[in-house]
Amino acid sequence: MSLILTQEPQFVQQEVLKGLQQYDKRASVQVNTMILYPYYFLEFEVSAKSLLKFNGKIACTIDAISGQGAIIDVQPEFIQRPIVDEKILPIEISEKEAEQLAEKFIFQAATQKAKFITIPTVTIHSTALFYRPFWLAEYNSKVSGGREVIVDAISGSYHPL
Amino acid sequence: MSLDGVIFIIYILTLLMIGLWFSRKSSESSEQYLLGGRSLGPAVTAMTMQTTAMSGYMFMGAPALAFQYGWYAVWYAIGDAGGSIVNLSVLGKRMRRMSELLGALSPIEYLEKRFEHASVRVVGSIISIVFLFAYVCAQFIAAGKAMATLTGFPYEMSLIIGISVIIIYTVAGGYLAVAYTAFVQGIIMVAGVVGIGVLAYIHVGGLTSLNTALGNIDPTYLSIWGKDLAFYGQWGVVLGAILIFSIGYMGLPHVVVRHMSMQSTKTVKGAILIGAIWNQFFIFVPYILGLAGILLIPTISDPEMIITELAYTLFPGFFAALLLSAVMSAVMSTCDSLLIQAGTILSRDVYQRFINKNAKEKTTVLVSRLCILGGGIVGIVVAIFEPPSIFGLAVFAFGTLGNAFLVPYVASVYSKKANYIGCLCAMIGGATTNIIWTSMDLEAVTGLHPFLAGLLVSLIGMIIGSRFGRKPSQSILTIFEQSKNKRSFSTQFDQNIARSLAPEAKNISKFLAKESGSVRNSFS
Repeated sequence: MSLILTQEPQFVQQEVLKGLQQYDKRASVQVNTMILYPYYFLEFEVSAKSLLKFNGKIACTIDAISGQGAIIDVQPEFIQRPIVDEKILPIEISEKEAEQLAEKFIFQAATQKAKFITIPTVTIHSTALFYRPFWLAEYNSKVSGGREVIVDAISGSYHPL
Repeated sequence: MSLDGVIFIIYILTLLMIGLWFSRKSSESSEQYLLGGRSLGPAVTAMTMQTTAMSGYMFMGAPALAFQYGWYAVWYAIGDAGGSIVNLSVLGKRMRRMSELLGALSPIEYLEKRFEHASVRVVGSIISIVFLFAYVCAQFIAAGKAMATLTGFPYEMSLIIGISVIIIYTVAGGYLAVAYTAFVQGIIMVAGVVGIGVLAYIHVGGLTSLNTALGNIDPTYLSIWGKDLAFYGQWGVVLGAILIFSIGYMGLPHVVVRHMSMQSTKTVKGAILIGAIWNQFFIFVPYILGLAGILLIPTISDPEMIITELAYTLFPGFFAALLLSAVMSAVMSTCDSLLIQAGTILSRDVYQRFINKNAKEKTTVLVSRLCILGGGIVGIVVAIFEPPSIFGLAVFAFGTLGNAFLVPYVASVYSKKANYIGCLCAMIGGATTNIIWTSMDLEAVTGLHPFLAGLLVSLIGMIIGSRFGRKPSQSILTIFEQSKNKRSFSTQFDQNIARSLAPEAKNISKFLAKESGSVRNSFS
């Protein structure tokens, strides 16, 4: 059985249910399936001269399907485990492509968010493929029928399909 | 240098220290990443959001218009306050549904995906640049005036000092942009505006007394048509005034860096609510202060300095200087983000796409910085030799944006036939008409606000242009039909949808559709 790197869900089924129903008490919500979404996690060392020397770590994720980048806040805690009965999305971006995309993304984010006098040097420190858990929820309202919603099991944010 | 100038320098240095201290702290932390933008709690987040909305326009442009035209100026505030309401109720539902189905993260990306052509993004970006530089120029003039008051130097010299400070800050002073400095600044500005508002309110004896006094000076101050009935019967002008801010916002360029939180965040909701309430308050107060200025300082030579003058009249000099320093740094941070956005758009969407496709990242950064510098120099020249009013510039900037984007947005969800040629004609036609109408002052001849004229041309452009070129593809037509469906969610549920998850939702949707398709096939 193959092992994958993933994050421990912060929101379990009951919490998602409660969270979604707080906005619409009349709707019936069902949370059944967990979907694992692939991302690359990339950590960089960045150094540049600003008012003082700017040295440190920056990290981002690259969506392993669409290639979209996102800056992340704290070091994620990964666990290694086998896939149980979750649906798992196939990867469409290779690790090499992800590294190139990430380098570009980090560079742009760094120059946009923290301005430097010198051009920053960005060096890749580590790369890992991980799967972020999303809940698939069925949202049923008496007035206008049903819709599917995905809920990020780490942050609790949601989006309809 | 005057004492006020010294206060300004101490103020900036204090902000710098706060910024340095917090960024030091965050880079020392082993598990936290630089630029990660961790959740700061609702109060800090709300205040940070508020300070970015505060600009030279709010402190100088808006009160000057009210001083000049009386209650007519409030038309602009109504449009500004109702902007989000228009976005949500008129266009919002269908557009958001379509945006979700397209997996678009920003309004310009939405247009590019809906009209299926990269040229839409490029033209949209170039129009955004016109807006950004016009708006930056308004901030420059505000900076020059604030610096002149603080230092006691002549306007031209203050302008050069002010803009130099802004450019250095934009290119090299990233540490100041730390959220905590915005928090400190927010507190001073909010306290200042609320303080001046309350004192002015007491001085004029409340709204009723203010109106009575205004009516005694000149009854037309109370008219909806402006002082001396300047816009009497010109519904075109009034409608333009209401629409300009509500629509212009939709064309604002979004060069936002996407974030993904690695821990659960439960503070954002509260921040948005606090921010929305503050916004409603701050949109109207500057206009009311402009009206109070007619009574309290009728002889003021420059109406754009009403809030500053009121601060010096109603408060001790030290606090007034502190407030003015906060205004100056609000202008700096507004300029900073506008210039960075303009530089990024020019280097990525124009330089990298058309001039040097294989440009390295370092080259694009250099191009972006040169653009900022160039913009700064043009700004100095315009602000010294032919300074337009801050209000005029803001209205021009928002007008150009609104004229370029309103028709394409509406057509994207209401017209099946609308295609990229129509979109390009509408954007270029609308923006160009606004520029010509404003620069040749055709409003005086026609009685038609530049915004309304631009809107008409843009509409004609969309109708005629869409007859040419490739028709929308089948997948767009399917999404078009899907977006017409009524929403299944309650308003509250809908408002809390995390738009940044649009790409993930699109991919999961595709995956599930494929999966259910293959399951069906295996049974048939």
